[in-house]
Amino acid sequence: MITLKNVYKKFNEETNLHFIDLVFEKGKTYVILGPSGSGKSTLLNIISGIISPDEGTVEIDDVEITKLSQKDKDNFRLKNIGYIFQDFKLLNEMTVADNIELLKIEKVDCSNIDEVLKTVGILNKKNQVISKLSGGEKQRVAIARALIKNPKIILADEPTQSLNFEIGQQITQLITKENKDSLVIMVTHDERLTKYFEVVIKLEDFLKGGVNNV
Amino acid sequence: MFRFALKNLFIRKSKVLLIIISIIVSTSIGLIAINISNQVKDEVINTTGYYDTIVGPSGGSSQLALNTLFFTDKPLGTIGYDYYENLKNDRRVNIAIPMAMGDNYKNSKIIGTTEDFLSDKKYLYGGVFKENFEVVIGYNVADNNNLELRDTFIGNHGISESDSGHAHENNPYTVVGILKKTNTVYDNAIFVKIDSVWKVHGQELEESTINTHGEVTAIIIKSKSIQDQMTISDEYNNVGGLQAINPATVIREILNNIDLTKQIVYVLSFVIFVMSVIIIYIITLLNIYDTKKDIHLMRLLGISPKKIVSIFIIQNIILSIISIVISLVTSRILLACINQVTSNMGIVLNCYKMYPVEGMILIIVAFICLIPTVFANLKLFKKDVKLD
Repeated sequence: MITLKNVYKKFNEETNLHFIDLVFEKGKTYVILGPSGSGKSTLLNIISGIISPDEGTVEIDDVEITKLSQKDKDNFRLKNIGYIFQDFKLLNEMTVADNIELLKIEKVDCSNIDEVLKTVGILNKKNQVISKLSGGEKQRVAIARALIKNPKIILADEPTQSLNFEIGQQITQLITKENKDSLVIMVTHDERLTKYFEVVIKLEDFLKGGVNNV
Repeated sequence: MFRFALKNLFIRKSKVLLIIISIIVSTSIGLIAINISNQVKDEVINTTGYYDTIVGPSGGSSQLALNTLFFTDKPLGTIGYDYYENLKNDRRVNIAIPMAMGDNYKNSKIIGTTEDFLSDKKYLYGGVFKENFEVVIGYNVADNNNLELRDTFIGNHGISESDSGHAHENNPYTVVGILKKTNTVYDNAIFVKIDSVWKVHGQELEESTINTHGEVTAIIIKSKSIQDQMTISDEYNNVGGLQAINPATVIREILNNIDLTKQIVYVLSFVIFVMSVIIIYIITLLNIYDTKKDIHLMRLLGISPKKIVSIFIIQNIILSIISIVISLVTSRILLACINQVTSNMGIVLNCYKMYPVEGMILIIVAFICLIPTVFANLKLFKKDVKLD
């Protein structure tokens, strides 16, 4: 379970985000809707400990992320969170397998790589260099990298933005159906994808001062 | 981590190649400069150490020393055998050895001398010459010409092939001894009884001179004391057409000149080395900035900065090990090539010889290779990899 209490992040004099309290329950799938620049990615980055809020707290299963050191945040993210990025965040000159097995550096068990690649439908591309894959295939690699560590939480930041709708649907299905017991939070501005999620959140309803403040 | 570092290097092969080449060039030059100067010094000390005086025809003292002890250059001329007889019987002299040369076999000089000259040498096969036209050959002479014991060959008049006159076909030499490899000028020389040299030339010039003493190109001496050495030198320097030199003094003068050359080579290799360090630094920095996105990605995934820096350090360790090994091999190959030239000049280089200072250079190179990575990483982590 993720609990956000009075989270506030200031970027400059004009731009800041102030969330009202939010709770995400274990095992559920959430989609957060909001226009571009409304703070959706910032919310995921705060939850994952990539950035720290100026005020407020974030708790994940009784661990107060906001109080952890950067090193502990990194470690927590590595072990518990599968993050799928909008721009894939893959090593372009390396192969699919290399990108996933990169996590071995931090001793993540990657022995089930074939199984995971089969699940996301790219086992045949295992030794292919990333730069030679299509956008959809790249996102599948990113999903496989998130799934390999069987995370408690999957965060997906606009994973379908650079893909056509049909592929976007497939990717969304993969994220929501292959999560097993994970808590899934995906942010998107595409309302057509909400049917795959149990809970739909409109970000503007959870921001003090609304999205105009952003 | 090692596998990832290796892959990371492989995908940036052109930059990696550039770094390796720059390290190899500077390191090899440094190694060669140090190795050659040390080997030359060692060989000169070993060769000139034992004998304290050379008596020979007047002329250039360095030519006399180099020709007599290093079998290089042409003899200055000849002096009468009676000088040798006098010195041999001189109570101030421990050892006097006559030398006569003027022939070659495929560029290896044929040196007429006595058994004494080879008394401290170790044999791979056979032993010293006893009869006329029996020869003891150096290791390289045997190796290069596939000569074995009891093989025969014909010498040519002149000190080298290019200088060769007629072949002494009537007087073939027979191999009776092959010296162990010494990595000195002895490896490239052929030794015969001095009488054989006289006979070869005497027969062809005038049959009646057979069995009479010819002339010698030099006499090398070990005196009983320093004072004896000085008085002998004084005496023979006062004889017209003769000179007596102290080989150590003459060679020291030559070495002083070589030392200046050595300093120039050292300075040059230092300049190349500094330039290489700068190139390595720039390329490493560019490489790291190139991988800025990758570093950020790894940080986002939760990989610790320590592990990321370790990857870059491992990369540079791999790079420096590859460069050092290739530099070492390159320097030995170049030494072998240089040896082809220097051995004709009387300096035989041992391509496998390595001095401790060379090891030090390699350690310094390895250390220097790591400095840019550490600096670049620190700079990058301070500025760019803070996630917040």
